[in-house]
Amino acid sequence: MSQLLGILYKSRHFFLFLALQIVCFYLMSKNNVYWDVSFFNTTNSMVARSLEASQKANEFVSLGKVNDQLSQENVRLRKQLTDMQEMSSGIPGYKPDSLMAHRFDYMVAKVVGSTHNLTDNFITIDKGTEDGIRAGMGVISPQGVVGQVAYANKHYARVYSILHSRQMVSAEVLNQKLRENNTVALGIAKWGGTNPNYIQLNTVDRFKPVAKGDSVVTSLQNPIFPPYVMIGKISEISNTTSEAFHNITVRLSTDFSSLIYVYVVKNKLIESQKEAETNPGIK
Amino acid sequence: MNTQTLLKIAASIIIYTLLQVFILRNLVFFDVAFCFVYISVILFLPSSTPTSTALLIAFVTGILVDMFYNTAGLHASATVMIAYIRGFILKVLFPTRGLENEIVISVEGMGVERFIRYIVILTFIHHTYLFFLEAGTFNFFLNTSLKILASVMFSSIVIFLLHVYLKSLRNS
Repeated sequence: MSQLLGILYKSRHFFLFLALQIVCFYLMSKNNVYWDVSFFNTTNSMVARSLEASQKANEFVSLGKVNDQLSQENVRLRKQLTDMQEMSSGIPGYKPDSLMAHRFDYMVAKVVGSTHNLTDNFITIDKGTEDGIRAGMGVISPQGVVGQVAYANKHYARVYSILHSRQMVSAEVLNQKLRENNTVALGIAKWGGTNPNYIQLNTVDRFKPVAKGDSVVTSLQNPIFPPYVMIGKISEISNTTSEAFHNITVRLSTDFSSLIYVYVVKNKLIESQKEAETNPGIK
Repeated sequence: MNTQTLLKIAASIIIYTLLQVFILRNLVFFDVAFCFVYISVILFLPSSTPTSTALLIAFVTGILVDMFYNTAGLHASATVMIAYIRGFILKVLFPTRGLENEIVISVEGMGVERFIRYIVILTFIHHTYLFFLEAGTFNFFLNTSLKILASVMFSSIVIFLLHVYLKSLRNS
C-alpha cells in the first residue's frame, strides 16, 4: 500500500497535469455552452469593459475611413430613395417613365472651404469636372439643401450657398391640412441676408393653411434639386390682412458652419427640360 | 520559493497578459502569423519552480487569456501542456546539470544559442498543440502547418526581444 502511495506521490505532477487538462477539455467541449456562457457572463463586466476601451481606441483611428464608407452608402441610399419616390407618385393614372424617374444622380464631395456670414456666401468642394461636376448642379447635405454649383474646374468646384443674395430655391410647405385639401403651398425661398440660420419664404398664398413648425421642402417644380429635400421648419409667420402672401421665416435645417460632406445632385434630363422651356420657335 | 519570486511571477503574468490581450491580439500578419507572447510567463519561470506550481500558474494565465479570446480552455490547455513538458526539455538541453546547480533561464545563464533553442522548441510545441486543437481536425493540415510555422517565428522573435528588453530595463 505504501509503495502504491509512493508511486502516486511520485507522479503527482502528472496527475495534476491530467486533472488540469481534463478541466480544460471540459471547458472546450461544445456541449458545455451553458457553463461557458455563464462563466463569461459573471466576469464579463470587467472583460467587456476593457475590450470596449481598446475597441474605442481602434474606432477613433479608423473614423475617417468609416465616414467615407458611410457617405458612400448614403449616396446609394439617397439615389434609391429618390427613384422610389419618383416611381410612386400616388396619383392614379399617372405613371412616370423610368428615364424620368431615374433622372437624379448623386456624387459625394468633401467641403474644403466655406463661408456663412458674408452677404454672398460660397462653399468650395473637392470635386470638379473630372468627377462629372458641372455648373448649375444642385448641392445638398445630409441635413438639407446647401446650394448650387457656380463654377467647376478640373479638381475643385465653387458652390453658391443658399445664403447668397441671388440664390433662390423653389420650396413647398408640407402639412396634414394641405394634404387633405389636396393643394400645394408653393413659394420661393430666399435668404434675407442677415442670420445664417434663417431664410425667408415670402411668396406663399395667404389662403393656404400653413402653421408654425411645418416642414419646408424643395418642390416638385424644381429641375435642380430632387423633390422633398428638407430646407427647414417654419419658425415664424406674420401676415397683415392687406397682403397677398404670408411672411414666413424658416429655420434652416442645414448647419452651414459645420458642413463636411455634401452630395452633388445631377439631373440627367436638365438639358432636355431647358430646351423645351426656351425653344426659340415658340413665341 | 519566497515572496519576492511570487511577486515577480504575478507581475509577469499581469504584464504579459495585458500585452497579449490589448496589443498583440490585434496584430496578425497576413492572417497566418499570430503572436502568443503570454507563454513567456511559463518559459521564464525560475527552473527551481516545482512542476505542480508551474502547472497552476500556467492554468491561471491560460484561462485569463481565454477569457479575452472567447475560447474557454483552449489556451489554458496548451499552456498547461508546455508547463508540464518544460522540465523534460530543460533536462534534455542540460543533461549534465543536476538539481544541485540550478539553471538560470536567461541569455547569460544559458548562452544565446541554447536560449533561443529553448524558446523555439517550447513555442513550437505550444503552437502546434494550440492550432491543431483549435482546428479540431487534421483536414486543413497544410493551412494549419503554415499558421504554426509563421506564428512560431513571429512569437519566438517577440518573446526573445521582449525578454532581453525587460531584462535590460531591470538592470538599468
